[in-house]
Amino acid sequence: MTRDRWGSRGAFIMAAVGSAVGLGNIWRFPYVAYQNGGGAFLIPYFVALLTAGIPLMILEYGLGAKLQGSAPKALHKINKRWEWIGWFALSIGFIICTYYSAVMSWCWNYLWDSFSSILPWGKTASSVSNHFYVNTLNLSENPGQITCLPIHLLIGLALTWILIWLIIHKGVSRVGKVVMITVPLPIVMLLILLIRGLTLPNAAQGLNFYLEPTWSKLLEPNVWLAAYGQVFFSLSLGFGILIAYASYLRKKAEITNNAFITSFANCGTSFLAGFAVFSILGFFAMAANMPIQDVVKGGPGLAFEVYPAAIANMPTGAPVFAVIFFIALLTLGIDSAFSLVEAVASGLHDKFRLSKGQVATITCVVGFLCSLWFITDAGLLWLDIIDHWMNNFGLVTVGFLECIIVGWLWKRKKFRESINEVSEIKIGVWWDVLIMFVTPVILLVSFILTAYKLLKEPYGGYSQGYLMIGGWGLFAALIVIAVLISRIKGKTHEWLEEEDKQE
Amino acid sequence: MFLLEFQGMIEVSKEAVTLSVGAWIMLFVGCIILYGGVALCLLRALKWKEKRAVSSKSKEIDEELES
Repeated sequence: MTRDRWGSRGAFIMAAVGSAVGLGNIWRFPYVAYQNGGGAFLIPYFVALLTAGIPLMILEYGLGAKLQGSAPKALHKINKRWEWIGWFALSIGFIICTYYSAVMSWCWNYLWDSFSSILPWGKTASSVSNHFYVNTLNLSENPGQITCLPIHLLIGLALTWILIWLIIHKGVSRVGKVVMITVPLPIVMLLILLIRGLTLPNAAQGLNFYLEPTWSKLLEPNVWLAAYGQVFFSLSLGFGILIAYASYLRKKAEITNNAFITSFANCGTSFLAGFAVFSILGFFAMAANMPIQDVVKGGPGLAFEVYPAAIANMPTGAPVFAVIFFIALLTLGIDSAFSLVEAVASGLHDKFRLSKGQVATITCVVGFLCSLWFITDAGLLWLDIIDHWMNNFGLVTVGFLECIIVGWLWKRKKFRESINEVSEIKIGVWWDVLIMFVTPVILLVSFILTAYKLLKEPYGGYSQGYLMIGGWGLFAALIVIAVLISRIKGKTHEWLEEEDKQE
Repeated sequence: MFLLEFQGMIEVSKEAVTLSVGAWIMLFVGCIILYGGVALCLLRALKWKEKRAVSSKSKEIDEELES
């Protein structure tokens, strides 16, 4: 069985950029930047990008391309004891995809609502909140109160999973074609929103809030940690996606420059999104007669409350800009979603030697069933809890373990030489230092500080029981599942023997 | 109608450009590093020719890596 290959280097780069650029670029980066010193945040952000984001991306690309396998297979090749880490990474990605698809089902509903002359969510903060929490989500009061499964969200969810299946079931050749549309399209949409935003009154005040540097913030360690967190979460690191995508490259394919292009393109999109968001928020603050600090939100609150409210207040063409915004969200989300599923499918394909079509179908059906949980009336609450744990503990753990394995327990120097042999930008000893010390220390500190914060007060005010189930319980369960899958014999030996023969 | 609206948008935008000096500086720094970075890397990529044949040294390293 020969390995699937990208049609071109461009297809690989576009797919990797598509995977990295997601909803977080719109709803997380601008908010995190605003909270952590505005323009001054760019300094720790660039430092984090160069000292952790890009080195770790080179590591993941290198593992995939050099060991020619998905995360579990690549780590198995290093030492079969580490295969479980690959499965752990994939299981985190899978869980994230299940709620990511639920968010996309909200987008489908908002897109549908946008096709009307008067936007149904109204113009005021209260009417928009009511539309989101009551009409769309039918949100319950606590995570234990699950009473319904709204049919409109079910339709959106089914649509999302069907799209994911259609894109990935034929292998990466189709992915390579789809990303040629889904990667540039949201950028064009963001540019349209930016131009419209800049022509609205008070846009400059919004941009000042985004860019005005508060230099004193640079002395706060939390700001630096936020920058490392932002870089780490937004580059699709720790999910096994980049390893899987790079495994479809040939062994002699370029690695380091691809990592630089992907990282800069991702961060450039975040930076651009900040302008599109804050210019329109500046206008909304004026229209709603509120201080801008009161209208700025991050996460779903930005995408489904503040931004739609701002669009509804536009003097003309509000539905058109609403359509543009939700198409941007959907196209941003879809390539991140299918990359998560593709990584899992790739792992199953490598382990059990099922066809790409079979693993795609299994993964999508199971994924669809699991994601039903997140469109129930308590879905958003569970999403909030699980997302916090998966990002702050799951991904951080995988990233940390990857650094330890490659930096300390494997042939680091040979690995670096092997990457340099095929790369345009040569990496030196600085890369070793970053992978061995800087990145793992920062990830460890981040893990400890987040855990310490949780000990002091329960996350989001949820009761400890729910946090134990959706947080630590799920985290532990994923580790157990990963270890169990890695213990299954599968067809691991067959593909290793086959590769030996081919060589 | 659309032209009038567009003209109005331009008028508004003329009034609205009041970014602070700090914001302008960070805007340029961000643009130069991020978009300049992408452009530079893409230019390098355009010039790059993937090695047609794997050199014996490269093959050796890869074999050692997997052994």
